[in-house]
Amino acid sequence: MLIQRIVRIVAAVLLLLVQCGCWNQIELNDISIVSATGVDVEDNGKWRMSYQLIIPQAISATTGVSTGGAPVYVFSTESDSIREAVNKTSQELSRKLYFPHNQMVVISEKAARQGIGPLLDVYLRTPDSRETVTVFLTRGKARSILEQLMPLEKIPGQAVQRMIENDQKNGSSFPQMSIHRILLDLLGPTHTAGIPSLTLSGEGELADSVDIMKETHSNKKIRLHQLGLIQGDKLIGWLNEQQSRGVMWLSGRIKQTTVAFACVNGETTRSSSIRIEEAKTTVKPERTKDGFVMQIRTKVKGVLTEYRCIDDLSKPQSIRRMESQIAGEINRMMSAGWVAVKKQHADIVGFGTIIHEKYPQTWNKIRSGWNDKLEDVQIRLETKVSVSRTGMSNNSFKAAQEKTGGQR
Amino acid sequence: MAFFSKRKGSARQSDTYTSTKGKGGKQTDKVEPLTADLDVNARVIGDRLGGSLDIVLRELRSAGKESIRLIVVYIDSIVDHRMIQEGILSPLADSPIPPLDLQDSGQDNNRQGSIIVGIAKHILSIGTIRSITTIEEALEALLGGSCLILAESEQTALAADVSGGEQRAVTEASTQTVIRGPQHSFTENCMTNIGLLRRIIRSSELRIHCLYIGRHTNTRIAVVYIEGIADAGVVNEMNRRLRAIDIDGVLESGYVEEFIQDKTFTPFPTLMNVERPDVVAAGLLEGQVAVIVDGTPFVLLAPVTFFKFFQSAEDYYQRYDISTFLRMLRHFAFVVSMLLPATYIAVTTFHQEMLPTTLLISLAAQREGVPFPALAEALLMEITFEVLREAGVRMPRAIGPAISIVGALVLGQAAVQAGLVSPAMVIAVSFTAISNFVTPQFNIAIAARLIRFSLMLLAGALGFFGIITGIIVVLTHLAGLRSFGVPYMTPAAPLLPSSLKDILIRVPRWAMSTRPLAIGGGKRKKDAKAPPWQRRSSGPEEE
Repeated sequence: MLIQRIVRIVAAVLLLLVQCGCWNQIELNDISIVSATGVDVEDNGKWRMSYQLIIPQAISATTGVSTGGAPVYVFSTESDSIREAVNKTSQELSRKLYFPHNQMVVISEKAARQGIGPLLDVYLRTPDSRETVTVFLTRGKARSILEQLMPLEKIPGQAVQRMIENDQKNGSSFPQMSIHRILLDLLGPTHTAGIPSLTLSGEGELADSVDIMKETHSNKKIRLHQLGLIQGDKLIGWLNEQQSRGVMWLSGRIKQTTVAFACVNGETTRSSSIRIEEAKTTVKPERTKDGFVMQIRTKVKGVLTEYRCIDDLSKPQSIRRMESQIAGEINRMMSAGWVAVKKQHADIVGFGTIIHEKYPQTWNKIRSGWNDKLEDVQIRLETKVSVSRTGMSNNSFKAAQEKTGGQR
Repeated sequence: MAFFSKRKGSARQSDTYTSTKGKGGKQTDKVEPLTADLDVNARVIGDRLGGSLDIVLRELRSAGKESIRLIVVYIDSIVDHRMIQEGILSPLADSPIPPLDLQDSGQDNNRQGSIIVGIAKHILSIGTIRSITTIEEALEALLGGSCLILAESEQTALAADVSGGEQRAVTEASTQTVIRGPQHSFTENCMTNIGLLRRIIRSSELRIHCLYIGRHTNTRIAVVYIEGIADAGVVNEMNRRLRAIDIDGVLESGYVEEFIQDKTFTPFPTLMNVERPDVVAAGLLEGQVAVIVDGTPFVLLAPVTFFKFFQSAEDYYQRYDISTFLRMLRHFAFVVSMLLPATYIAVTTFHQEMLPTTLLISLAAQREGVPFPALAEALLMEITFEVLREAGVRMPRAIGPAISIVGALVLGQAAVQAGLVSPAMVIAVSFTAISNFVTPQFNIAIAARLIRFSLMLLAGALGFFGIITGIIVVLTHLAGLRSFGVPYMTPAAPLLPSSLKDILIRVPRWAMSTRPLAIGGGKRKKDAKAPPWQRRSSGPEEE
């Protein structure tokens, strides 16, 4: 009796398991992992989606079967809507595209000028595409970025992702923009975002063949280039690297970087440099009669890494002089960034957000057309640099040599 | 007869029970008393034993003028010949039985029984002697390894315990080993085992009750506990359950375990079996009750809780920080041994997005060309491993190396190269297998093995959802289990905070001032604080 009942229950449970089917079960060899996506717009107005698929056997060292083939495969599909274009891949691919491991999305300038709204909508709506994907713009075709192989790394998509992460950590000249971050910025008070762009620098052919990787150098390579300014959902202009870095300073997104500075005020060759290890920027808006003054306080700590001046570093006043020199250099970068932002009418620094937080009433009045009112915003810079160490040595090599007798 | 000293009284304390169950149920309930005729008695006993090869009936006459005819009966194969020779045969042959009037006893001067009393009191140099009045008692004594002494015209016989014969010596523990700690283990002999315990717990409070189970084996079973520490209710319950057993034979403590455990339909053991005297002693000191079954070195301990199975004897011999680390490691390994293959299946077939990209690519590359779905692959490997493992236990020792070569090759390299399984799966299965061996108690490790398979099926059908469902079912089941009335998951559920110091962590010895509440409770010692030299400087407690 009891056993009969148990058997029945177990059978029912087993049947239930089978009944529900294997739901979203999918084996690893039924998916093709997408590492990068490219978005282009064709002349006829259709979306052209490009995919960089990873070929695991060519990458994994464990299989032991080195195919010698390319580690990725790039192809494109075309349609009026993005998801339909993705859907069309089933007409030419044996496996299902798998997006959760997508590392980057490259948007061509043309597509960005047309508006990235549809793409953002897709990312918000579908569960298999993640908002952590890093977004880049490119001046040329997005597809050609996907086709380019990168040195050292096997998967180009991942390589670019790591490149921007490396820059975040060590250079901080461009912001890393994920879909999530872009959504935050574009849906925030200022409706603007800055997205870094990739470019193929150098002459010659694309490094799109494994054979090219056999050489010690490549003619063409992917590098971070400019910062594209998005307003609303459209690309409106570009900032160069220096301006981008100024914006990074202003918005307090510098983590670690190297700042070159001159020995004396007015000198053009900035021959010494400091490694910034800590940087903190606080922005305080102040209302004035006809606009705002942004009080920008920056505190920077760093280590001297290169020194070509003649000052005696064992004296505190020369350190102080150097610190003010560095502060001046940082201020210069910030001003340059701000000037460029003002000119382009895109508040990617996020001053609007800060004013919105401090003066919500006033903000409601000025929010419309904020980006055109940037002229009324002044910045007041207050930068404090402290050089915590002068590195492993004191005076510059030249100064030391002169001290020992000045024989040259 | 008060003079029959009960030096090994414990062995016969439950005589009342013995007569009702162990013997009574064995044969017909007819009781046949010994007669006054020596030859009749000897013949009846011989007949009852069916004239077996190893029955020895030795007739002799006592020394002295008033020579008395005696018959000594014993079973040759289970007695100690030297004891018979030195303790029974030579004294009987050498010294005369003193007449009744010379005996300094307060007995009524009845002729009947005087010879037997005389022999028992003045001649035999054997420790344990009983008087026997019926044939059934005589047979039982004989089969238990006693030597029977029948005297002319006496209705009473003597049974002298001379049990002996070949038996295994006390050796190192082979299944529950430790690096530091006592190395000896129990043997198959019940008395030896009790002795091992007595030598550790030299307390007058140590109680040993004995009873006999098995219609044919009549196996001696000892219930051991410490009066005042063990819960009287548990002791009574243990006795009640043991008495209710009706079985042909008991060959191992597993027979008993199945009868007295609280729930049959569970993969989790509700009794612990131990082959280490120190572990049993520790259990007794915490209030557990031990059941020693003659014929097996595995002693049962009850009541137990789930977490007891992860406590190794060594935890208490090593420093507390080391023990704590190892304790956590063991719990972790148990979870791994249950969940790892299931998790692997779920992640690779449902939740690929959870993996780091590089790992995913590596796994995907390994899976290229593998013909089976991950579930089939995992089941294949698991079953292969289980087969190998079983073979390793069962096979003759001489074939061992051959199996290990085949196992290593088939399971690892060859299977991967043949494209049957992916290397990552081999790693997952191997790590699962190794984790399974970490659990100190074999029987709960097996529970993990059983559950692993059902979790794998659930993971293959429903992914993490299935695994979580499975875990919930297992946890619910665990929470409902009891071992001799003690909830299985104590002190976690029901939560007893004061008993938590010996579960995931093992606090220093001096901080374990109370016994586990669930089992015994009560204070271990009056002063529950840290020793003074540790109290002054901030001890680990304050940190």
